[in-house]
Amino acid sequence: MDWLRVNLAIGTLSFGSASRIVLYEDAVVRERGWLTADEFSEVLTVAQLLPGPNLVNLSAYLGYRLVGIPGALLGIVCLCFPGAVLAVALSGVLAVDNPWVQAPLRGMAVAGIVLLLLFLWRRLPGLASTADPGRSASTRVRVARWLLLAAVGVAVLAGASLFAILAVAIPVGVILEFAL
Amino acid sequence: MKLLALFWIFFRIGLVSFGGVFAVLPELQRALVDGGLVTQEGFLRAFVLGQVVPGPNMAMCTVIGWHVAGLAGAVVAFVGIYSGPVAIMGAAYAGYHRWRNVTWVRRLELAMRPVVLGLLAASAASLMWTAAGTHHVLALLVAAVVGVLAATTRIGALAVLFIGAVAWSIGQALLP
Repeated sequence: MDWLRVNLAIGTLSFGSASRIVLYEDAVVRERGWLTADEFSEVLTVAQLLPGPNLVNLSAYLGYRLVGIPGALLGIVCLCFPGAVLAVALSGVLAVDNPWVQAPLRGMAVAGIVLLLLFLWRRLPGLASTADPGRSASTRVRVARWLLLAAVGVAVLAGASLFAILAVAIPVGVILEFAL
Repeated sequence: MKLLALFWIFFRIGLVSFGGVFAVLPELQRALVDGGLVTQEGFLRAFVLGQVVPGPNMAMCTVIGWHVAGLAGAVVAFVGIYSGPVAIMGAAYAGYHRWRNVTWVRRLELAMRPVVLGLLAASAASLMWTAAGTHHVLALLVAAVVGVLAATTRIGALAVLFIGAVAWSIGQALLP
């Protein structure tokens, strides 16, 4: 039940695309301690690289893990339903041009992005990890990982297609990891 | 038949929607607008709505389903767009969970970390640009207020979003 409540709250109150993954981290790692920060990182990697909206993927994966298949499916419905219903209801009375309707939405979007940036900041030390928990990566590997991160970021902002970016970046990442 | 066609369009596109709806926007437009199911204007309206409502921006697909075939259309679109990715995540969960302690799987996950962080950082930057619109100063002010609060206190993420909404509304009323 707690898991459904988490999904319903995020599905009802979350605005602003990718920034919403932070809400799951907040609910699952920081508030309830169901997963460690490191485990969440792993889940996020899987959710981000497979097809589907990352929010739904994240909910699906966490749901399977925390409450099993029926709970996971219900969680996704709780997550997607409020927005879908609201969108259909609003499609009759579209008032999104009104600046006073936009103000809170823009504020939430900006706040969400700030949360996303803080989340990324906390994830950065993970770039120095190796498969052996007791050892951190060599400087060469770390620099290579930073360069890959920057290259992916620039490619996205330059408007390259996500397919093309992943098709190049995934093999490059694998080669970096296993060859350096 | 129309429902089946609608399901197939959304299911097929859901399977390749890497990163969410933006990656498949051109393909959705081709299938739905060129296929004569919605007008260009209706498509754009649905897109804006998907961005405005909470939850995944795939909500636009439900809106389109509703306009094509009413309640049944909305349900078909909802199930169609989400079922593929959710099934794939189930398979990924089963596989990853079984092998996650194998060294090469751990190394694979490490190898993908920079890619994932790069994708997220870039989407944060471009989202900020979209969210700010023409109100650059206000966006920076709200970001600063929220950033300080979130970094120095232990308030929850949903509360931070609420503070952002209030801060922007107040700012919009005060700033010229």
